[in-house]
Amino acid sequence: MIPLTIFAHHSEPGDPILLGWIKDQIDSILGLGPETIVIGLGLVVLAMPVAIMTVYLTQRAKHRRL
Amino acid sequence: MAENIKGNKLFYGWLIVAVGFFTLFLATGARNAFGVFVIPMSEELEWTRSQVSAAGAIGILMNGLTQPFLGRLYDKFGGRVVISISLAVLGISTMLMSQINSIWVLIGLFGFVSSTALSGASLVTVHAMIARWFYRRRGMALSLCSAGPSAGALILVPLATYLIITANWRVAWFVLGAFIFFLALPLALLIFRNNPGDIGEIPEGRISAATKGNTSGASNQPEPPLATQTWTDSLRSPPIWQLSGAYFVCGMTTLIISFHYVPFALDRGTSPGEAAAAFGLMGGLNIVGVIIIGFLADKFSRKNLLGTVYAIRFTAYVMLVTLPGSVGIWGFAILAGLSWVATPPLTTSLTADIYGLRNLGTLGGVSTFAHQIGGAISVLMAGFLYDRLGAYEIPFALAGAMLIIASIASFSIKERRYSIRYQPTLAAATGTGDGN
Repeated sequence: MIPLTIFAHHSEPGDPILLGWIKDQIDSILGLGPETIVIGLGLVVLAMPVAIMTVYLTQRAKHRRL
Repeated sequence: MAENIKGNKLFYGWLIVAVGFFTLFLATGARNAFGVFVIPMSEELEWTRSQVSAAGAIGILMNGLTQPFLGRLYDKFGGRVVISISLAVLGISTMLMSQINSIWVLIGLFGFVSSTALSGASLVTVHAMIARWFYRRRGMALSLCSAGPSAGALILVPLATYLIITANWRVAWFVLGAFIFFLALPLALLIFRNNPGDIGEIPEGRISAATKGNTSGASNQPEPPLATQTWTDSLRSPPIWQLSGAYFVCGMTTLIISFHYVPFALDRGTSPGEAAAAFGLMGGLNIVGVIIIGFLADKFSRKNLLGTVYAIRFTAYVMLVTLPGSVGIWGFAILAGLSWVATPPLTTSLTADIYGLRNLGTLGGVSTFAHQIGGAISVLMAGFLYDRLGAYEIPFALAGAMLIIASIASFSIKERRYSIRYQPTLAAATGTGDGN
């Protein structure tokens, strides 16, 4: 039995067969090369800490002025 | 706007929520990507699928078993320390997965080390920390954070897949681990604070008069009638059993689908592409559902919402088992998707409302342990029954029927009697407690 699931609450790994289907869907919908998708998804991940740090530093600077 | 003693700036608790979301996004999201590594690792290292699956199964077991202990550590040492150390260990162990050449190392690293570390950077610990920062909008804060694992799966699973295609599985593991170690860990160290009092804030929605001259943390806030000195005190009252029992059923009904959804869909004649699309819709609706629940949880009775969520999931199971072909698959995807992640924030907020914050990490760990045990039992039961009956309808119907019990258990929680939201002084001052 292969450990499955990508949408459980806690720690369950995803089903490799299902994930293969999802990859095929992404390929057919987006039609982009794998490198482009890696860069795009990587930027999405990096954008989150950048946004959080921007808010944090902005709030800290504003607070110091108050 | 959140109550804030420092004027009109953004309430600091929302930064905690953002980092909590990102922590769960990376930690749980990277974990969910394990499935895409199964085939390339098996092929290169000449392992059987069963061997790799054993590592995954041990990981699930360890993660469930260690939740109460990591929750206990949270209650003793605070979230900043426990979550940061867990992220460090998780990041390093994930990066070390890139060097694996032996199945025993995989079992050790993934099955034991990273699974234990994940318990320290999980919904249990992150929720327990956020609960200390929010009172009036606790439901929304916990729900926003609960969307992290689903969002992480939606982004990191495809990212890992394409990293394996463009480079190899070793690079993919290293990148995932590096994200955790170099992005999530610094944010946790910089921004996480155990209590609002640590930086001179008061919790959102709390009464200024109640904490006037006292900003030293949650332990000095008004407490609910069942507030516990030790976590074992809670075991003498019904709500923890009702919540954990319902969460046990939650685990049963989520993990059984996770493990047996694909073969069931194929048995029903659904095409692989359609099954993937339905599952993708389900993932997107996870996030929609948990945000809706967060909004409602701060306005209405949380136990009624929890009971309703289980009832909706029961309806989804009825559709899955009774409706033919892809109608059942799509109907289930929509209703179950909306209910899938709605239970953790409601369970945590009710636990905090009823038992207070002092032992919330441990109590959350106990509930999550019940969740994982329920999941393991249902997965084994479904496999056992399928081998004998040749169909999934019976095990799915049994698991679905348990949702009736979970729904009744949730509806019957005496929230008005035990929850701090309904205690006269706090409810009157914060405008909560309506709609029961």
